Amino acid sequence: MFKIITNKSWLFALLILLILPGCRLMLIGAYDQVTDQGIQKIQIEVFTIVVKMERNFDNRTPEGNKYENFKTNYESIAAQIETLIIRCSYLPKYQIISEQVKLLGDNIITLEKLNKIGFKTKEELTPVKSGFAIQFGTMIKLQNALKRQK
Amino acid sequence: MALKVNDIFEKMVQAAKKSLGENWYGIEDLVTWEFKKLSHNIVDIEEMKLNGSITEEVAQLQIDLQKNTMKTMMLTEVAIGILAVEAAINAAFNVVSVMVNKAIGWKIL
Repeated sequence: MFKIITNKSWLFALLILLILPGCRLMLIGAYDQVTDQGIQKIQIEVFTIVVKMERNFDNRTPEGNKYENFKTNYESIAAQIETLIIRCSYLPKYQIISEQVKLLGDNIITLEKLNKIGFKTKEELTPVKSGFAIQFGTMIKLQNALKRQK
Repeated sequence: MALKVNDIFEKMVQAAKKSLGENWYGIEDLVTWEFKKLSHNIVDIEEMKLNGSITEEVAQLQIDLQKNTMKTMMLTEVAIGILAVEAAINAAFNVVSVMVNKAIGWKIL
């Protein structure tokens, strides 16, 4: 019995300590507009690459999909990812979002590797495009959830 | 043996259910569509392998991309779960603070 009371007291004390200082508990960082807009800008740039490649297949000009034609796009995106990772690492309680940005960066490196090898058909782009759509979609879902928290 | 979208989807759901227990029902609606799409993507990759249009290296890179996507998705669900707990605690505290402040007559909590 004593043990149960002690455990409950501990929980109550912990809750009070967590809540009292700001009168509002925050377990995850607040919405950050710069991060949100950064993710959306990268989304546009990634989809610009993928859609251009698809159109090159549609227009029967697959030679336009050579890695050299997109090299500067990948460099620009890599710089934006690095900038976002640094920003997220300095925002309080942003480990989850920071990890998501790292995973996004890894996927963009994978896209770059696939581009270097060369896409032979438009079908090869289908799972890539769909994978990025889910990834950006879930990241934006979290950004929207953080907005409501503000 | 050709993979089937529904088989992959069901296995993903079963594994997630087993791992998340009761918490699964809180995110079921949120992740079902994404699980289905990821299952489709894996089947697309397998079809390209069967057609001989991709190498093992390309297939590995394509699968890596899907795995990272799934990790990103699960991180969102974890974060949304944390936000729900946070909202519940804050709501409970707000109710108590209104009651306590009213009873004491000062806005101290």
